[in-house]
Amino acid sequence: MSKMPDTSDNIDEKLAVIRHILLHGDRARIEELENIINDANLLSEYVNPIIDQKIVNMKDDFSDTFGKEVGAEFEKKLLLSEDLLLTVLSPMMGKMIKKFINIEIKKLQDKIDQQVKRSFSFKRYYHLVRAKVFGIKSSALFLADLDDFKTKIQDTFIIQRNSGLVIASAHADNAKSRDGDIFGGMLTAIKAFGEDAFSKGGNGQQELEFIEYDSHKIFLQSHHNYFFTTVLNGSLSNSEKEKLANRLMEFAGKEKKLNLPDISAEDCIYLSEQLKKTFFPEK
Amino acid sequence: MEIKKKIILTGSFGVGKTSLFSRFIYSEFDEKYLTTIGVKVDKKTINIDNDTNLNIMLWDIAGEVAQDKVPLSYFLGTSGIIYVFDLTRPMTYNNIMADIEYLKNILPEATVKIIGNKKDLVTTTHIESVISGLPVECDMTTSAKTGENVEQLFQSMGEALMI
Repeated sequence: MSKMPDTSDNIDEKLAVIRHILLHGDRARIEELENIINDANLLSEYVNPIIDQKIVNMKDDFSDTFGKEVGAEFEKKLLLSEDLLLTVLSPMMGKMIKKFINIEIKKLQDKIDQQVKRSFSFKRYYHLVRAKVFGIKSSALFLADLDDFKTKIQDTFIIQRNSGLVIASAHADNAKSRDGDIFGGMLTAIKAFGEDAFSKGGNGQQELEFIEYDSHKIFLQSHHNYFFTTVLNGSLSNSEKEKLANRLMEFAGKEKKLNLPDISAEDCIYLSEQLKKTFFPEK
Repeated sequence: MEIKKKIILTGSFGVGKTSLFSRFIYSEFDEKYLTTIGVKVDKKTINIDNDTNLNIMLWDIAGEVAQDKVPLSYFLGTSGIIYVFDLTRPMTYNNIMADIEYLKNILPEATVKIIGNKKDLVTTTHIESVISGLPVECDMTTSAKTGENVEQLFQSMGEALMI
């Protein structure tokens, strides 16, 4: 509370009295405002409703007020991140395409099933009998008859078990040429890595048997000193896998040279010829 | 006559195995240091004599601080071992005796060559001092960077394997 000045003849004092009388109300108001400004809680009581209203207004008018600028900035950022976006999206797109293809193949199988049902040909009865006997879907048999869906052996290798050295190899005439020695070496390393990783922890001796890469399949069959590696194209059903395994076992049983501790260069040539005769006979 | 043999390049990490591999197979040296993941296999044919070519299947094995850390299956079927150490880093040859004993134990028939690499980075006096302090005999010193003794190393290994 301010003190009233004593009255006197002095002009200054009189002026002070007048000032006090005139400005008393304003000073009290300024003091009150200062208190509000200096106290965060008090201030927020007054300011928050205004800010809240501003935010509501901004939300309502955002697209009109900032739409153009944000759009331009977003477009700029998208262009700059094109590579990154592609990297992120490509695997997802790949999966979607794969899924789509699977659905389409399924549709194709269903169509073939319907076609087979409608057909009264000898082939239909033949497929039906085979499907019944072997427990395979008739559509799978029909597909197997179409050349594009047939499993094709591209290469066959006999690889020394530990060293990865290629003992013998044979290839289809149209097979993409690959360096058998490097292929055999790397495959042995992958096989060794897999077997080393998975046979730890008491799983005993396990063998890598199958590798799938895109449309290529690599079928491995291990024997004591060596393993067969067959590179195939196309789909491979379980019955075809079994059939291939039997053919390889038959080859291993027939070719006694494979069991020799040291296989000579002549033996390697002989075994390659036998592989060629067995898996890629001349038509 | 064509003969095939598997040779492995092994040793601690960063000793220059992959650089020796690249120098021998592709005749090139890359300044960049890239860690080998697992193993890399490539091949090169060397002429032993007029009648004999040796196809070397060279396995560049990822470096480990001790050889017993390398998957055992990578060593199997190996005819020759090139054990590489770095002449500039004692930690790469401090354990050499134990490593060589381990390798000879699992591959008693294999030919072993002990190689000190990166000779371009040190003086002759330093090389002599390192070699004389080793508990095993160093067969050769090489520089994958300049190519010094690299061809000779593989040629001598090839000839040793033919005996």
